[in-house]
Amino acid sequence: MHRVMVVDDEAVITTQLEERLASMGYAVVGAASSGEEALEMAKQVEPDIILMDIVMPGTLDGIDAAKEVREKLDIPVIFLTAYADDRLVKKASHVGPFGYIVKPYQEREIRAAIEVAIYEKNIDRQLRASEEKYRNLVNTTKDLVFTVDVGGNILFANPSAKEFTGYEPEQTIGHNFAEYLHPDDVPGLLLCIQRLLSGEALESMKGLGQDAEYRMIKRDGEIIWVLTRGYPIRDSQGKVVGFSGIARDITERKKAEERIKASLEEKDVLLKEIHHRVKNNLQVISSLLRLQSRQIGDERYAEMLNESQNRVAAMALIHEKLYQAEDLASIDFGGYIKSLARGLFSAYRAEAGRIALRTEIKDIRLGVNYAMPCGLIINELVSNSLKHGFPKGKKGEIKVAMRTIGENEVELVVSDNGIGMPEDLDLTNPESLGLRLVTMLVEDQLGGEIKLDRIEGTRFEIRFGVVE
Amino acid sequence: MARAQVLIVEDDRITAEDIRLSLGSLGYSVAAIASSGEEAIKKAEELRPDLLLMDIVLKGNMDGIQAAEQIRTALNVPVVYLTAAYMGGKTLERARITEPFGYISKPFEENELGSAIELALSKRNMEREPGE
Repeated sequence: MHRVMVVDDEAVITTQLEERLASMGYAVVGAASSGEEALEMAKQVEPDIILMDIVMPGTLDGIDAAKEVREKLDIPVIFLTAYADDRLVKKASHVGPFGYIVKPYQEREIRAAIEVAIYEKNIDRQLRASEEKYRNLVNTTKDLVFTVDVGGNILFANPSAKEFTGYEPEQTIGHNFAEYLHPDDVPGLLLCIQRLLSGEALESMKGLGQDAEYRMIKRDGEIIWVLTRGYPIRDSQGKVVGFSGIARDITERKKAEERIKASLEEKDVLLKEIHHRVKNNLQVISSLLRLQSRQIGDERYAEMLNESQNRVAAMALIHEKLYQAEDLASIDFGGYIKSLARGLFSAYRAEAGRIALRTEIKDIRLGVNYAMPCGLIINELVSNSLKHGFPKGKKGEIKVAMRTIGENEVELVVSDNGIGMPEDLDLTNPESLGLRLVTMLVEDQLGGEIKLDRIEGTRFEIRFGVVE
Repeated sequence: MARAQVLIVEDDRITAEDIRLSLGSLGYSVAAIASSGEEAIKKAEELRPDLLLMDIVLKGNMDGIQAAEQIRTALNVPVVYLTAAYMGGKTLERARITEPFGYISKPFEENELGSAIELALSKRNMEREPGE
């Protein structure tokens, strides 16, 4: 129920009005007979609305009293007037009344005036609260909030402008926004604004505006990076009349990005340097083995050293492929096997055309923990095939196949169609170092399984699990 | 035809010795071993080798690519790079400018070294013949 106060110097009218209002369902919380009394009473009873006679005796007439009430108490006032006097109404309109009721009153008229006035008052309060909320946000945010005209001249800047430009916000008004920018970044920003204007950017950003990163130069010469989101301001015809923007200081973020980038580059350089040094050291080991093997007259012993050299080469190749890899941590095994086999074919002087190499490796990348043992296994098995599989100029083929099974299992098959392994070969207890290395690496290092199939030549099937 | 003279440029002494013996068993003569770019330029001028076998990362202020470039410009001696360095990106770009006759990756395998040098020498002879 709305609480109403009435003010009129004629008691008859107030009494009559009070009864009327009560019967209409309003609570009449007070009746005053002069402007001064009305002010006092309104302060105490705080009505929702005041119905006030315009013409009253005393120092405060209705209009002056309404002005006071409105300014000091923020209570809406409806004027009661005996005749619609143009001069009075004009004067009354200056204090922003919420309505007029012309005597003699019609009940419908009173109700409509009261309801409209209270409704408007509520809207007015909400609007003012919302305005205040946004004003507070704009005034307290650390971000720079600004408005410029289409020419870039600053129309408004919030208090944060001081942090972004070094000038008081008022000092920036009328200056061009470009004056505060790093000259190199002005063309890019103009481009951004063009895109804003063309509407194409707005379309894609669903009206959120356009983001831009650029540098600002402060009064003292300090350069800061800002991220700005801008949006156009349009007049009632939809024509762009300026821009608003919110700029955030992202200097620290930019610096952190630079540091991370630099440290990643440094890490890459360091890793490459390490791989290079490892390869160089493996070269020295390889050279030492070859120098030693040259001293040995017995072919069989020299051969053992050559095999050792091939093992070193297989390891070195892993490092070579690792530092060619984008992530410096995993290698493309297809490429590795081809290089490895090429080296072995050359070392065993396998004439091209006599023994062919076939590889079936589908896009497998392995980390160094798996790549190194796999490389050594393939080195041993391919060496074996080259050495023993094709005696007396026999022709044939060596095949290396690798594939993933399910999520994290890998199958490696090394096979040849040569003369096959000796019947008495026992994989659980091989005599040759090469095969012993293979079973050790498969079963112990990789935790996998190895099977030998001699149906057509020799076929080693190896399976192991891979944990990321 | 006399045995081809190869200038080895390698700053690791053990590797250099291995290369020297490998070249010998492959049938080439070793003109000298240089361990820096500066020394390589000096020895190349002095000995006029048929081929440079050049490491890329060397001690001293000059790397193998710079040395190869100078020797190629001054003496027109072809180069084969023998390196543990990653041949990619900028290194490869720089090396390409010196128009190398081959690349061998370390650790090298003797037969691979043999074929790379054979190929480089025959390429060089083909380039020289029209002028002779």
